[in-house]
Amino acid sequence: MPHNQPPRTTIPRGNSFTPFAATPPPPSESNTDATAIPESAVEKTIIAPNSTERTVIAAKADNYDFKQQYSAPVLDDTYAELSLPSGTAADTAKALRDTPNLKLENNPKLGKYLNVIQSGLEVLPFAEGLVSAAQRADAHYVQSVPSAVGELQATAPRFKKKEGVKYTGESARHLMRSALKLGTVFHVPLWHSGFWVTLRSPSEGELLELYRTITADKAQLGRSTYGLLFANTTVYTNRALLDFVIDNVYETSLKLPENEDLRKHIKMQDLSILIWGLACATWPNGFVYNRGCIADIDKCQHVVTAKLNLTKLLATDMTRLTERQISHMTNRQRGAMDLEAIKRYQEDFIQGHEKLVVLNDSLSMVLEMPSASEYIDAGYKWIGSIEDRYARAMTIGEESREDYLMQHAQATSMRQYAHYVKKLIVDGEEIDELEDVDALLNEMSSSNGIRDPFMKACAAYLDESVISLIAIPTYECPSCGLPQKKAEPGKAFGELIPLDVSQAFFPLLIQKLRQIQER
Amino acid sequence: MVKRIGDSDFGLYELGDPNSLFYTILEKNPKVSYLQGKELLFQVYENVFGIYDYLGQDSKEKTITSPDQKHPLSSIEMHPAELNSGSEQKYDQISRVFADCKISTYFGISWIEFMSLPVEHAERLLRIAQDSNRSANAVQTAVMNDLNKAANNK
Repeated sequence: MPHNQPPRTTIPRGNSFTPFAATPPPPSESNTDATAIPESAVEKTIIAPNSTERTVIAAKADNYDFKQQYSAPVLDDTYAELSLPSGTAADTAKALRDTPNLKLENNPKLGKYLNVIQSGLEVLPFAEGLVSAAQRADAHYVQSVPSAVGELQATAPRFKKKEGVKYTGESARHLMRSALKLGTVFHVPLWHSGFWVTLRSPSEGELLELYRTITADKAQLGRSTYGLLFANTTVYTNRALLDFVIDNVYETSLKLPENEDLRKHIKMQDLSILIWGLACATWPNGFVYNRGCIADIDKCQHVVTAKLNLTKLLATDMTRLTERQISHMTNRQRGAMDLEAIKRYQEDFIQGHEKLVVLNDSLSMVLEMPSASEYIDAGYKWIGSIEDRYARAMTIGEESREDYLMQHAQATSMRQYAHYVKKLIVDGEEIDELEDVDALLNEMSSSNGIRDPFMKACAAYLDESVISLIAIPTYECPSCGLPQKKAEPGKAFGELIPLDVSQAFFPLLIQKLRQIQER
Repeated sequence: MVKRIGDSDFGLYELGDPNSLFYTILEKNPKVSYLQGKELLFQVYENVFGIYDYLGQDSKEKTITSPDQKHPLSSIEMHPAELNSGSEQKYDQISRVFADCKISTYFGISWIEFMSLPVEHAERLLRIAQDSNRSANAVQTAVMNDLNKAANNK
């Protein structure tokens, strides 16, 4: 369990606003069967630890194909460090449970190992979010999508100098950065939204301002939620990070009418892709990462240390894209797509656009993927409800306070999906005003018969709609040679482990700022 | 040492304690009005998260005679734990490093230009400047040693 989730359960918390934290329905039997792959289909080359040669971790499994190396040897020590998980939270917890006799005494190496495991867990999405999307049996995740004009992938392109063009302002700055061979800009495909954004690398001064903004927000929101928000940092860091990304957008392939806010056209699932893109633009030299072996903790506590190439972590499920959509995404130039083109692109999705869900004979709902700004707004609405809920609880006798909070926690659990609900259909009547939908969800929250299928439908919808995510593959330990997840007979063990991008990369910012003090 | 709101682990563990004052008040405090409830929870928040010790200060204030030790405006005071001075300190540190490394001398750029460089570029300049300074210091030390030796020989 991530350390920022208080373990106590006496008074219901209900304080997690984590759309990516949906606890997905368990994989179906057919899904599990489909993960079977023949031994010969797995291609892995992992060299001995401490070698100075390149570490190749290219795995081929049923649902992903990572050809580009995300890992390289560490050549110097000027990089910040990041711990990455070696398995999902469930796999790691199981590995630790199976090893109850670990003794820390007189074993500093074990201390470091456990620290890596613990820190690695912190960058996993809450409550196994995105895990079932990453492990979808019918998916085929790739790092670059083949198209008629070549591979489509997130890249830091070379600046093309044009003869006879006068460079001024931002373009002059890019020319200078390009001439110095510095990471100029970074192209990021937003597969859910249907366009490209090009991010520029922020400056040290801008990163300091981001840090100041996030800290100021934290202080203010901490006061208005009595500290309950501190267990859920994504709500306030995501807004600051989204604003920061928007400030660092150099150009987009989407042609927007004047004064139109780009945030409205970015789908919620692309928020983490954007934050990752910003990390790629900010730190093109990568990070040192550690991963601790969890194959058999009693016997092996090897920690792999290598350099992470952030740009290789975007995994896109090709099976969810049509040829027309791929063709649409070949237009990367500034303003090459208009809103109509984006609409057509999104209509082509088999999954992820509007979906009618029948909850019972008289109640149905239409789900729709919200934009990044709707998601942020919903998060702040949720924050606003905390202060009121807890203060109101104090006006109730202490004997019934727990029931009151429990009831509201249930309402909260439904409300965290409110921004997915485009409309409710009650006895044939459509209800689509946001306030009315919220109020009805509050009322329905006390009914298990509605709440459970509602939550399940939303989680499944979220899971189905994911096309691309930031993930790392599992690996075989270079020390003990064992895979990080034991394969069941005849089944694949290679799988993708999704990362919580803001949890993974925001602490790096803090770490980098700390390094300033040590210069 | 006061833990500050800018610390990455500020507030992550305080509510994990089942016996924390927050839960004790939430579970056992008799009912109060809405506004009293808000004020109470807010004070508990500041207490639990180390921002301001209402309980300690309240009991102390009863015995304090010096007016300087009293905190009549505690509810709107800027408490040390909430000072967002981390970024100010970091600005100071970067400025000091900029001056110490003689970035301006080596590369002919101002502090404002330096601060608007991409992070990896700024770091590269710092590394180069630090290496140059180290080499210059080594040469200076060697020359001083030679001069001292020559002076001693006379």
